[in-house]
Amino acid sequence: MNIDRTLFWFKDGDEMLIVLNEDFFGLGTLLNRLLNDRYDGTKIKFINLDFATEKTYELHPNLPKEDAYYYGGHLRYYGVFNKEQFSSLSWTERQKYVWDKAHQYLCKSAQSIKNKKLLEAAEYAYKKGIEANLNPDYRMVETDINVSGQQLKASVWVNFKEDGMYSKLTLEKEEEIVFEKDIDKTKKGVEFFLEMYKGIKLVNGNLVITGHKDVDYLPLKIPLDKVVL
Amino acid sequence: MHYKLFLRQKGVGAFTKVSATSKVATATQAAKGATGFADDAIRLTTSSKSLAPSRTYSIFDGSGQLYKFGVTDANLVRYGQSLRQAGPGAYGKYSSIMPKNQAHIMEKYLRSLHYNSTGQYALPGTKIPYPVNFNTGLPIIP
Repeated sequence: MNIDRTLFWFKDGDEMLIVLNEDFFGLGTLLNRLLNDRYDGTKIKFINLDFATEKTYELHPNLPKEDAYYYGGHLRYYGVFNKEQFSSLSWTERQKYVWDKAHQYLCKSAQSIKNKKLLEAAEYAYKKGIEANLNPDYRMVETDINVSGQQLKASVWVNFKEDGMYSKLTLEKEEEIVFEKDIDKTKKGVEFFLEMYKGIKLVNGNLVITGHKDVDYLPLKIPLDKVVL
Repeated sequence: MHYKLFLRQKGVGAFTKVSATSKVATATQAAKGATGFADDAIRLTTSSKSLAPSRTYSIFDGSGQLYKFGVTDANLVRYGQSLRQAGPGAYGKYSSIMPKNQAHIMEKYLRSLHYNSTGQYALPGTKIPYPVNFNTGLPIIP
């Protein structure tokens, strides 16, 4: 990936609004994935898009309000938001608000740092996100397997829900899900959860989900004879 | 432990774990064979073998929010770059000089302590090391 991570940061004065940061972690992840679909410019390690109240900028006049800053692969946009107004919106309206603002912030940042490829990627990601109804769920790992002559796609998904992030195994045959099973759950914003699954293998008639050595249930073996196809 | 509980709750009876991790086994042995505080302690680890003179640092952004933890050379060249990455008004603190592998362990400790104190998982300027549970030494997945 040419962009390692994109996140939204909410602040009111000196208070970091951690719950909002976590609520919009999925949307940031979606934006990062879509940007990477198109972006092939200079590597960017972190894109941080700030949604801070006027109070933050009053307390810290050194921050470049409504402007971008870039150095050594770290890009930040210092945006403004009205917390009370934002709180009055529905969840769907909030998502759209953040998506629209993020698009504006990325476009302004790209122009400011003269990165045309980032501008193109921002336009692409904005449209693709809207087309996908801002659904941040995605396949963290996937592979094609052949079981008893049937060609199947095995995937481990992350599903972003109101109460946390869930991982789920699915088997699909011709784009139809024929088997699914919850694997794990964690709170929103835990980045390690998105990177701990490494692959899916077929070993001696078992489906084996491999992953980070420090996760005590991985590798996870799922006997295929338990899977009703 | 967290995962096993979850799998039981979700009734994933057909799923089995292939092998235990060495770190879990070490933690269990330490608790069982405890002879004193030092034996009970979970020792944080790092893959770094380097003994190069280094320091651990913390950087705060222009609004005073924690931006990142990191490891720098003794002459603070990397620290200076990180300070610029954190934007206008950023400032930082750094440790005295220590071997690089110890500096990495200190970085992991600070990252974990910060998470355990604030509940804030992500940081604007850093991803790895992930915060770990001081009781197991394993990455926290709350």
